[in-house]
Amino acid sequence: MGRDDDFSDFVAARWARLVRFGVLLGCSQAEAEDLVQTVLERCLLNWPKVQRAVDSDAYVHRILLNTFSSSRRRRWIGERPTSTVPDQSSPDETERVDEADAVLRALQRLPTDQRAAVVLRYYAHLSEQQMAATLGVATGTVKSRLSRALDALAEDPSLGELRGSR
Amino acid sequence: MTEQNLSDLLQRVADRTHVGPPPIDDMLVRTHHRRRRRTLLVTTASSIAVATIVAGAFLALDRMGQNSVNAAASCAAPVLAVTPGDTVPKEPGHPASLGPVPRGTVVQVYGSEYLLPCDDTVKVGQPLPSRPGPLASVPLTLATADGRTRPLVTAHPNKDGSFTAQAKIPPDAAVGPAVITAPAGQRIILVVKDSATSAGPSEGSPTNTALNGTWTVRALVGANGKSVLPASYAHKVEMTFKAGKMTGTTGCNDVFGTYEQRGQDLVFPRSQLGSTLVGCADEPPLVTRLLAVRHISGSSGVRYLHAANWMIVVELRHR
Repeated sequence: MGRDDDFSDFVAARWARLVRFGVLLGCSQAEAEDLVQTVLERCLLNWPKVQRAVDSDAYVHRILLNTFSSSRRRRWIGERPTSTVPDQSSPDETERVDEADAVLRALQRLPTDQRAAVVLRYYAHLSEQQMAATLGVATGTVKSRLSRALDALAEDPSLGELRGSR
Repeated sequence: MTEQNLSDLLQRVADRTHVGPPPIDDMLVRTHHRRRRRTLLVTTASSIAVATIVAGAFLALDRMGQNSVNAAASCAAPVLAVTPGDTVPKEPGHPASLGPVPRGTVVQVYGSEYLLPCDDTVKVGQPLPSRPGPLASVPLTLATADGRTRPLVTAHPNKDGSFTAQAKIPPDAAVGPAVITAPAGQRIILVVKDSATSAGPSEGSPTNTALNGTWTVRALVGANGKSVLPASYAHKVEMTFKAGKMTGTTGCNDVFGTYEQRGQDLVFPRSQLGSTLVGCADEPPLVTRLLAVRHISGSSGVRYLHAANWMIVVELRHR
């Protein structure tokens, strides 16, 4: 099996999850897809490194977080104005949208490092050791970031309304 | 909110994002293009680096070769196979008007490390007192690249009975033993005296020793006989003599002092000699060398300040 085949299998298994990971980090879906494509192309350029990595998922998440941080530092992030709105009509999903909107707004209010810790832990389900390796920090730092993030989310008014409605 | 709740919540929100199939083919194509560009860039950069290194090496070799050619030709290492007291032979076929003059006694050799353009004229000579004693017979000739030996010195009589000799080193001159050679851009000055009048100054060789006026130091010789006047200070070192007082500059510091002259005896009293103290790299040690001066000689527009053994310490040219 060649490198391209390996890469194709790797991408097929992780594409959707990585894009959703990008959305939870604060990207729109289109931005998240661009971000993940950029990340995966970088992985393919250095494919032997990905294969040699002890935890290839943690490695990819690390590249993704670095690329995401870099893209947020740029003033222009690739959006172009258009006269044609690409939105399409869809069934009324107001309630589900409210929930997603509340969660995403709550995540957006977290500092970037805490947001990344929450998404890595509770969506990507990385262990604290994997998170420490991915974020390039000590395990203790991971724990403290998670703790602060959870405290902040517990007091977030958007999620409070969500809890009240349940 | 429990951790499990948060995990479920994030999962539900994430699942709301409908993700299409991955554009694997596009990614592969783009990555292959990028890899090709990177390879091309690395290859180009490597080629340029290799070409630069090779060109640099060739240039260095070329310069080394040029230097060795120069060393083997007219501008070789400063080997001066004559010493004070050697005889300058008459040049074969020398103009008859010079009469017996072209035999001279080399009484002083200095400046062998001075820059001399390959095609420059080597000035030989100022009437200076010679040291008495038997003269070694070392012909000042030049072995050239074509295998010929050329006479190096021609001489012209001066009114005072001494002579000034000149030699022109041809560009193709090669170096052999017992010849005068000079490195690229170096100047050799021989001081010779007519063997027929090779007596010392006390025996009446007329010489011009007046010092009044401003002079440029053209040469400054260390105790080891080598120049201590860096090329960067050439034409910057000056001395002015007036009524027993000397002022001047090393090109960096001002120097001052007094001098006592009686005929061809000249001294700069140590207690009166001094300079300002600005720190400069490679500053010529003018004050130190002036302390060694004991004699003076010269001719029109030129003065030589000598040590006790008549070795030239300073050559002055009138401004």
